[in-house]
Amino acid sequence: MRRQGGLIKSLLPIILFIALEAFSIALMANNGVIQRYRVMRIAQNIQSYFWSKSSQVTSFFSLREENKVLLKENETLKQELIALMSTSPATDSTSAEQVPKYTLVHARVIKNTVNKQHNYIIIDKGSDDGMEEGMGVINPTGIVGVVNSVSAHYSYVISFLNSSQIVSAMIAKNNVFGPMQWSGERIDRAVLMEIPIHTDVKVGDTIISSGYSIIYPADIPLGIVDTMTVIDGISQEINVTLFQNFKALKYVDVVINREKNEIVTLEGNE
Amino acid sequence: MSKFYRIFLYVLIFALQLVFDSYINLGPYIYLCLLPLLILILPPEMNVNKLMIVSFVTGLLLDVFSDGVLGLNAAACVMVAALRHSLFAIMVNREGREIHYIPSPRHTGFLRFTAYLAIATTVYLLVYVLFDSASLRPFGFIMLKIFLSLSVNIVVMLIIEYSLINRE
Repeated sequence: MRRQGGLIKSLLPIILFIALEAFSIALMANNGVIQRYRVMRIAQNIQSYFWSKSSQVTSFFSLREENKVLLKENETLKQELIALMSTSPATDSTSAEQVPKYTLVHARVIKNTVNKQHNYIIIDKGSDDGMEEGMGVINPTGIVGVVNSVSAHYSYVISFLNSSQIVSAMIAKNNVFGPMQWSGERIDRAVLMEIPIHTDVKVGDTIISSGYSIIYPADIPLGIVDTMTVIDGISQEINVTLFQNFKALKYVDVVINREKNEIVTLEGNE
Repeated sequence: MSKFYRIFLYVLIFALQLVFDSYINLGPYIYLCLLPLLILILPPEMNVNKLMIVSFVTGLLLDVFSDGVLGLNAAACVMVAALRHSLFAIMVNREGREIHYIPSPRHTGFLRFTAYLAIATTVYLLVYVLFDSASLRPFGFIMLKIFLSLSVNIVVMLIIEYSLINRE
């Protein structure tokens, strides 16, 4: 009896060690799901509150830089408007008004990590502002990430700088598409994969979003081709220099796809 | 070291880790982690079961409030906690004496203490980086990250050791 007690006592640390490690691994494996649970939302709310306060202070000191970015953005938009006005046909006043497929909700970044393998962002818009899980987040210089969980006033966004994020991208000049993923080493580099070897692609070509998903609209400029590598003699991997500067992320736009439910229902019927 | 000062140190190092995680970015190759030091300065009389549970909770709290992946720091903390007594016996108390003190450069000598700290930090980083990057990043990236993180962390932890822990 005493020997049994001694055996259990000596085995207890091993059992405890295995149990704690197994529990940690289970948490890691289900990380995306757990983030949506209520307990995580409470933790995120506390975090978001403090981050919101500290980001107000840091924003004040970076106003000059932000103004420069906004001016540049304004200029680009004006140029696009002029170009559209000069090329679009005269509007028919009798035609029904077209409802845009996507609408954007502007949000401020209150926390942004860039130094991990699984980076994330917290923005100051939540379910009260119409945010939902699975919405894409972009800004004028590219894609930013996907909303993973929402509270009333904040949303937790899985950054594109996360090894679990894959975006459908294509080469602008010939529409050849493939999955694009962060390279993991530098925050301004990504890899466009599964591009057929015969595809005409040159250094400096522009990469844009393909629009083959319900998350991001098509034609968002993502980056330019840096180098190409042949993989197994059948396809090539393209190293892309991203336009997005994740370190300077201050404001983003959350993409609301009005046709998302229709597409999801259709996919569910297949 | 008084009980109150130990609790103060625990809270301070944890808060520092949160600040490091949130404000200091040294690139993808360097992960600043103070939790190995925090586990090593937990009371020496604590048995391995208690040590693993306290370390697990500490790691999990850091995961919840700082990192994006739940369980990552928790797994690394448990590994260091499980090995602390063996490490202490091999690196610090080779003579097998009945001693209950938190190892410090003053007690063990600078080199022996640094080696003790370095092994604990390597164990922590191995678990952390492997779980974070294995099968996603090349072997060279993982090794370089462990090596660079270890070098930077040892310097940071020694600064903390000399300025806060080893001052009594």
